Amino acid sequence: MIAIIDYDGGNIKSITSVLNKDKIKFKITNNKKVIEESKKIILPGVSNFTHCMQNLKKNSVDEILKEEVINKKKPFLGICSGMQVLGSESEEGNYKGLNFIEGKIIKLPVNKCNTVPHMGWNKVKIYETELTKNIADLSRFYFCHSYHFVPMDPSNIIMKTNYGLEICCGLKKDNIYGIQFHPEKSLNFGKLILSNFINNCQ
Amino acid sequence: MKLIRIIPILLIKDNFLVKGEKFENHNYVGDIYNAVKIFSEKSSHEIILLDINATKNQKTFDIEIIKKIKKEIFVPLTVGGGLRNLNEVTALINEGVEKIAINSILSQQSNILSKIANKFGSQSLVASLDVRKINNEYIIHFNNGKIKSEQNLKNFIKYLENEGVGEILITSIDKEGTRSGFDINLFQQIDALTSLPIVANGGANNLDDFEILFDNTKISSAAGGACFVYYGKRKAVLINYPDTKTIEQLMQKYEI
Repeated sequence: MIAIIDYDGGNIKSITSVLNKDKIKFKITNNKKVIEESKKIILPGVSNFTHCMQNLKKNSVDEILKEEVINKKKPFLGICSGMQVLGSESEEGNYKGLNFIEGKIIKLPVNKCNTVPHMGWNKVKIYETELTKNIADLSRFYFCHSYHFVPMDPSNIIMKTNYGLEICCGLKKDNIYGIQFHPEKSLNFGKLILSNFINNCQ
Repeated sequence: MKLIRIIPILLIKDNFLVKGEKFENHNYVGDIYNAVKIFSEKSSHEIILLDINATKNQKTFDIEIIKKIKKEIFVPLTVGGGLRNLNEVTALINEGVEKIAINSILSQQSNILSKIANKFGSQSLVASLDVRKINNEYIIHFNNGKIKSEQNLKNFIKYLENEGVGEILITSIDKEGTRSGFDINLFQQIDALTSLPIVANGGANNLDDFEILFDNTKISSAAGGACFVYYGKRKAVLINYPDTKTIEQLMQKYEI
């Protein structure tokens, strides 16, 4: 069973409709016992960074995640703002992130980008990992974000895109994965990334 | 570099898709579920769904529609229609909607915009503005074009930026449904007013019209209604969207 973290934000149903199509068992939850029993964890993301962290802290989900993901090494996938809260801190509010992958979340620079938010189907440079298995290099994925993740250690980067500047859009550190774009809204390759996470990521 | 988006915009009235001209004379064009399924299968960049009767009937966008279509739609979805408060918006986003379009309530300048932006982030928040050209000036209208606003376009866009809006859908009422090309002059004026993403709407007839808009303005996103639901001069209903190869070529043209 996959635990999909509920934090009163997030477009949870977009993820679940993809999982339902593939008949994957999941629970939408912020319950400790359910998260403990899950095999893998997804943190979906349509949210403001502060709102997301506030709500994770409110129910001590941040502590549960630390135990399950850092100590027990359960595979974890953060999507969009769910990836951003993996970082240490963000310019979008004063809350600290989960700090699972060291890095800062920075506002996209209006002077370099055509428009902010970065919205649309951009090409993604793919580095081969279990998450990106069978994804063609420079496939297009749907982006919708105003902030981007700058990891301290560049070797954590597994996907990149260009939007006037190079943006890290895929991260991996051990059992922890993050993607900036929306795989649940990126047609077939998006679905493939989700099924790679479910079937291949350990 | 421009990341272009070409977006079908679909109008809903009493749970069916309709299309009119200049915000009037709406005709039935088919079933919502069927149309969004086709657009998703044709890999449309996004889909915008607007309930044009919600405000008039004091209703909000029907969440049952989203529950029904979300099984078949794997591209981003923006919805709007009668949304007045954060609870209504939250319910829709939780059902799997990426972006919310706000229109009629904008006239009241309430704090709904900043509330949405603070909860879901600016990227989820679209302000939908309808403008009509009167004496060579573009005037904002609310409530489906029925209420003329006193707001100055420039100041109002600044207000939307400050409230945390992430995108502005601008519809030319004079062009809507006419298939006579975008109002380039309008969008050149808008260019100078904001660095937010603008979705231009009103008048698209074919891909050339989108290209003319992208070539002559800074705008990178545009919507089409009639051109994606009708075929030919006699307006036979045919849900259509350019094939992926054509779209890819056009995208690459602007990515240099």
